[in-house]
Amino acid sequence: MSNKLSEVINTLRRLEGPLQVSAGPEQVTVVTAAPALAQVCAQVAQACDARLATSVGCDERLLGRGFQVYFVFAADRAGAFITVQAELDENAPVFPSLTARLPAANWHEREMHDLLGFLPQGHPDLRPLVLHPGWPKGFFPLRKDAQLPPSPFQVAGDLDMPGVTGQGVYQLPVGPIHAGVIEPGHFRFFLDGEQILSLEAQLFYVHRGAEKLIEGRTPALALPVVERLCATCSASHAIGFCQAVEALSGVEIPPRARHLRTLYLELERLYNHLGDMGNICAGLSYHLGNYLGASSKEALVSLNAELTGHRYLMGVAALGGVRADLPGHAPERIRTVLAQAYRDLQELLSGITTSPSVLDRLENTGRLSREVALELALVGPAARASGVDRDARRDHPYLAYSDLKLLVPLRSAGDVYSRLMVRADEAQVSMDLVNQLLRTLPAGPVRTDVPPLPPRRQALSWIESPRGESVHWVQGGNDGTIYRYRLRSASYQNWPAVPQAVLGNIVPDFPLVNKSFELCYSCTDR
Amino acid sequence: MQQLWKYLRRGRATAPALTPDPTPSRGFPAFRFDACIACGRCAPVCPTGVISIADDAPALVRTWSLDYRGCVRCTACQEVCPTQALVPTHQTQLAATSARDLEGVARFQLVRDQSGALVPRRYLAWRKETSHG
Repeated sequence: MSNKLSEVINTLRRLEGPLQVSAGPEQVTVVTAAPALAQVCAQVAQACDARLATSVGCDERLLGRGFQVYFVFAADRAGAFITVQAELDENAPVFPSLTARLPAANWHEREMHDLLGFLPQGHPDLRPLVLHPGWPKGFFPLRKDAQLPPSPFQVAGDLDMPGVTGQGVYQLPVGPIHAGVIEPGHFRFFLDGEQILSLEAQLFYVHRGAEKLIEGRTPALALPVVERLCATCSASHAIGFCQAVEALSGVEIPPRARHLRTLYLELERLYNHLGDMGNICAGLSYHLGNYLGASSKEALVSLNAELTGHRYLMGVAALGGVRADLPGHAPERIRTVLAQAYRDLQELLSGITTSPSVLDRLENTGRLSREVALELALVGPAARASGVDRDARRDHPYLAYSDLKLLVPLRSAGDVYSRLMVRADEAQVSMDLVNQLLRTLPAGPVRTDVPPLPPRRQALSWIESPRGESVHWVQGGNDGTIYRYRLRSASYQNWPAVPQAVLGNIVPDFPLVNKSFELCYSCTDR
Repeated sequence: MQQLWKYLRRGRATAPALTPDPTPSRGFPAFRFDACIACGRCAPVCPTGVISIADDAPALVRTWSLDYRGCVRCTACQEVCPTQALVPTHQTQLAATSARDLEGVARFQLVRDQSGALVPRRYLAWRKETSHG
């Protein structure tokens, strides 16, 4: 156990209130009583310099434990995850809301309220988050005794969008169906002329009930579902889920599998970052940049197909390792494609940085302050562009990252330009990481057996996806199947930042600001 | 009129790809009827549940089927197949004029062994109307 972790434990033991502290490797659990939950969470966050990483509400009545809530905090400097757990009253599942003290808990609590019927008392805004108007009252799908109604619900009624009113203030509704073939989200702008006074976003149009679907499946049958929660981070999702299952089953994967997983994760980051840079260029009508980004992305996803059989890296991860080894010619091909991608990236960057009209759109647009980024516990490039130095690969090393030299690029302005440049810098770091991995790729098997899930225990895993850290939480049931699974994707954590970043900007810059976060609806909505 | 007749006679409208897929992807599994022993191991491991195996005990027929419409090309069935009756391909396209064309169905005759259990014995028929088989 590291010194830093012992410090965290000692700090937690000194906290006041009804709580028990127990520790495992890299993880500490604090069990408390429901009425003290908010108090304890706030203390943990402050005393351990920790941010809210994920939360899980769980109906554990079939495991003989009643309703449980878990709030998981990440203490980045200590390299530890701290879970605060409380049991709720079965007849009145109420707990004091954290949101007023920790704004990052806002969505987490609203989701528990929607899907499990837990009441975060004192929450300032308990409008439905996941559920849309027309959802029957008192039907909580993630409860174990939820009975699916015989016919689908009709969406009826208006969205509740408080926003801003006043003389000359008007509303502009955009979506959920957009002009391009993109994902659905409804954006309601409150405007004074072109200036955005307030933005309300209604997401969760593609809530498929994936977490419910996964319940009762064995990990092997759940893996293809997790992998398809979204297509742009499919390797991250699949590997993150495998890590959680392996942690639960106590399996160590072979060294070659560890390296190959790391390699696939960096290839995923690369094609995303280059494609996203192209998308940002599309958002400001800089077409050459858009084409360069798209062509780089195409070269990289073709490489993925050649190496793994799938352009978006689906099916690369398997429980206990990876599905198949790389083909023999892979290192040579990867180096060739990456060398070209590096040249394309330089061309793209020189196009951006030498063009005043492009820079004019990028700089100072969609500013997000460091304070807001910290308050909302943002992750990934969005956090790092606002000067929040946070990267799960370095702060909580997993797979082969502790063996690699990893630089975490940082920008401080928090505007679209910073988010673009953080991606450019990170893409170059990823190229370097891939080369390091190819040089040090160990020999040996790529897969090992994974025993059935141990019953009634849970595990956590984290992974730095292209959009930032995602957290997977897996709990085993009584019979080797999954009892509860939750994914807190990077997009989920970062969405609340978009309405903050557009304040004071003009409507035509919204697509650009939105694309600079490049958040995914699919894995947010699940 | 002549032109219309030409179109009607042409049948399926999807033209073959002009260039082959430059980077062959992991495709649908092909089914080798003569290698299958109808053990049924592939059905429970299919994450989308599109492989089914069912016995008609009175008629002594076991039916195996794979609906390619729901196949996500994960290769789980190939990994558990003891006889390589499901083999990898690079076929990833699903264009057909009827849903029936996207289903593979194989029938096996069942006999009772000494303990009275039904075991597959003889291959009866394999309908292969899809280009993936």
